[in-house]
Amino acid sequence: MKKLLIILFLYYPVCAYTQGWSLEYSIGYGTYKLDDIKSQQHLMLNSYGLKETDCFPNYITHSVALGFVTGRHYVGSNFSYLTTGGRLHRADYSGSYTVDMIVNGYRLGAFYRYYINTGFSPLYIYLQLGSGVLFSDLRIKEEVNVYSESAQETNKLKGVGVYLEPTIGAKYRFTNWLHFSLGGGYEADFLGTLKLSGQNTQIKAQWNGFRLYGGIVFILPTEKKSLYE
Amino acid sequence: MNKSNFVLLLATIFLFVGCEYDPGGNNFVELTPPEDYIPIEISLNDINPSDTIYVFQNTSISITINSPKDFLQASVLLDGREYAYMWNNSLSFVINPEQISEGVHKLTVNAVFSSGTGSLAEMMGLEAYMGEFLWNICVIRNPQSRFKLGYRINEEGFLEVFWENAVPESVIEKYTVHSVLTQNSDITIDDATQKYFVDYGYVCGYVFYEVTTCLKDGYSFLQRLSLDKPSPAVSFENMGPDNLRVYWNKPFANGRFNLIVDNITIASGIYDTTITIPQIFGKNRQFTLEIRPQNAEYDISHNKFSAWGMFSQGTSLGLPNWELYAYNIKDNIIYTRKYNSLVAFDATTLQEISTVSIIGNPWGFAYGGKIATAPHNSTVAAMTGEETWIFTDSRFVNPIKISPLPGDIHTRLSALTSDDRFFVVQGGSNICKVFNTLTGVKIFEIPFTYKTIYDIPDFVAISEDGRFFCASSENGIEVFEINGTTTNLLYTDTRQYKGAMFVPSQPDKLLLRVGSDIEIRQIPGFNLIQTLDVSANGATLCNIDPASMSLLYYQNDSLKVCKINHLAETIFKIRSDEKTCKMFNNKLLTYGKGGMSFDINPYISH
Repeated sequence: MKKLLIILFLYYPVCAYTQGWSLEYSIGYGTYKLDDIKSQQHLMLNSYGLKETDCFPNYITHSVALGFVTGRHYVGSNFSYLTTGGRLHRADYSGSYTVDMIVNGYRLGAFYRYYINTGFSPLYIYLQLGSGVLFSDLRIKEEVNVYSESAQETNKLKGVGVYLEPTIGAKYRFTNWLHFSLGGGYEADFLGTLKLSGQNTQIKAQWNGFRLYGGIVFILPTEKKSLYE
Repeated sequence: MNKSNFVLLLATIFLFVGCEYDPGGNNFVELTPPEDYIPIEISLNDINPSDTIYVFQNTSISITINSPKDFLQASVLLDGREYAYMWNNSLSFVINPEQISEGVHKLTVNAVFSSGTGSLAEMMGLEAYMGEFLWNICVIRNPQSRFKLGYRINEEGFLEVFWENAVPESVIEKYTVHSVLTQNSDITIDDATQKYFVDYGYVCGYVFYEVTTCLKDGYSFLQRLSLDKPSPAVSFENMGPDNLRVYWNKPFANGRFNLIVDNITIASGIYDTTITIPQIFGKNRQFTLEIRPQNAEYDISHNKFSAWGMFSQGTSLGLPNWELYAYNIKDNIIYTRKYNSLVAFDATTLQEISTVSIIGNPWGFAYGGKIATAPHNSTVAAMTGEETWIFTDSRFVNPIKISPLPGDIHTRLSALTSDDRFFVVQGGSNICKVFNTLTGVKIFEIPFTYKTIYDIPDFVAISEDGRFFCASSENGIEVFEINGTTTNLLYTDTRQYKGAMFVPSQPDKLLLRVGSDIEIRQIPGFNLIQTLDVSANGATLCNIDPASMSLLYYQNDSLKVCKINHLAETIFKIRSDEKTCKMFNNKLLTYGKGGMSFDINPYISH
């Protein structure tokens, strides 16, 4: 991630305006409820002495947003990448049995952000509401190695859901074309039933949880205007 | 957005994807690997795998598998094909011999046990112990029909029941033999190699056996055998006047024999099938042969058999009992009675010549019977219960009937003389009546003093020529001389007489049984000519045979024959208990027993 930030800093142009197109990258940290998937993992605990060694922990998110800033308003679309996973594992002298469950979320939506002046330029507080579709895929990879026998099997489940995320945050205008933002929100997911080979399952991928973001915003100005004009 | 920015955006998304979460963690469990071998016990009906399981019927197979490790599963294979499956460590199933071809098959039990380590491999079924046991199964269908019985006589002569079995000896626990007709209880043979049973209790007759094969597994089957062999039949071989050989067939198996004659056991427990015993003339002897097992300990009520036989020495004339006889020496004819008929027999061949029925009212000839023959012609007189018929010869025509003049067993004298007279002394009478045989007219009477109380032998006699008359009794004797119609007492005494008769064709000789002697006296002087002392054994006079001039008398237990002119020499002797026999033309004739005759000619010493 550090490399990514360095690249962004080195190669993005350093010009920004208070009105214009913006490109924003945020790295964040999310908590994931994913109850159904966790339950599914727990169901497999009864087999072969498997134990849960990793259970869908909170993890880093990546988001990019493309929007148009005009005055206090910021409208655009964004794309977020959520990922986490779990592992069931058992090993002894005879071999090992690993069940890795990796779930990825691809969130594509629209947002509206409203900036509020704090009285201390260049710091602004903003309120944001975002919504869109969330594409989830769950990959269950089982691998068995016992004595000379080995087997591997991977199942993929896919689903589509809807999310709604209110966010509150702050933006610091470093230059006219470069801003820093810091925010947090809560993502509520709906639908999201996973399908296996086209067939619905009982599992829903609902990534509900808190989100923290820290990002940089690049402004591509369309005219020279003060933010307060 | 310039081109470089767009490329940067794509690179960013690409990097996002490359940041996919990588699950981690390790759960290694320290376990002890399993041992290479563990003890396994597979029990199939408690039969060693090296043994063969024999299947004769629907056979229940019970398999129990034990091991220190947990049983997982087992399969039962018959000739390599799965026959049954075990989900726990015991299984019972039934093998039907009809569903498996006859012969030897391989029954394999493959059992799988957990390693008990709890390892992943064990849980996945990739780590286990396996044990295999193999049995031979031999299917023998319907062994009962192949269980065959037979019988034979063994070298010792006993009945031996033997059998053949399709079932091998190793699975046979015992045999039982049920033979209620020869054995008190069932026989158990514990030695499976013994395939026979010697029945010491069988001799002959019907018997049936049930031989049961009892297998070690409790299954049993039986076969039956019956046989019926004839009992011995009694036969006789006449070995002359003295000995009789009694013999019988050898029974099928060894036996022992008891020979009973007239309710007297004369041989007991003998093994031979022949025995020689003394003859007895004048008796119908009833022989009973009892057949029993040779060993008396096998005697039961069912293996006792009897054979019967009758034997009489001599030839039967087919007469009723208690017949009297008369002999005509001129015609060589023996006269006797058959019920109401007067019958004439050829005295040589003993063939019946002629017969005439003499029906009386109410008694007739059947209740008379005294017969007399003339010494000089063919005249014969028959006394019925009411009258006397006098025939001129054996043609029995135109009889002269003297009525009333009854005769019976008690009649003391009935005699024809050469002067055509008929002398009769009735029983209990002391008067002798004399009739003319040509007219039937009574001529005169001879009173006498001593009348006997005995019917047999003769105590009153008349000489063939009618000249001398003798009346004796246990109290004395009177001898008269007859001259015309008058009599003259020649001699008298008071000795104890036991019989008197004139010698045929020698009318002046009188045979007497008196005191302890047999005497021949010369008449009229009553001089002693011969005497025979019979004081030791006594004697009973029978008669003098006119043909052979031999005296027949009974002494001790025998009939004896001697020449009248030499009483001391016995020329023939035959064992008998018949004291009342007569002898004519050397033919012995019984008084009872239906008229048995015996020709002594072949045996008399000349």
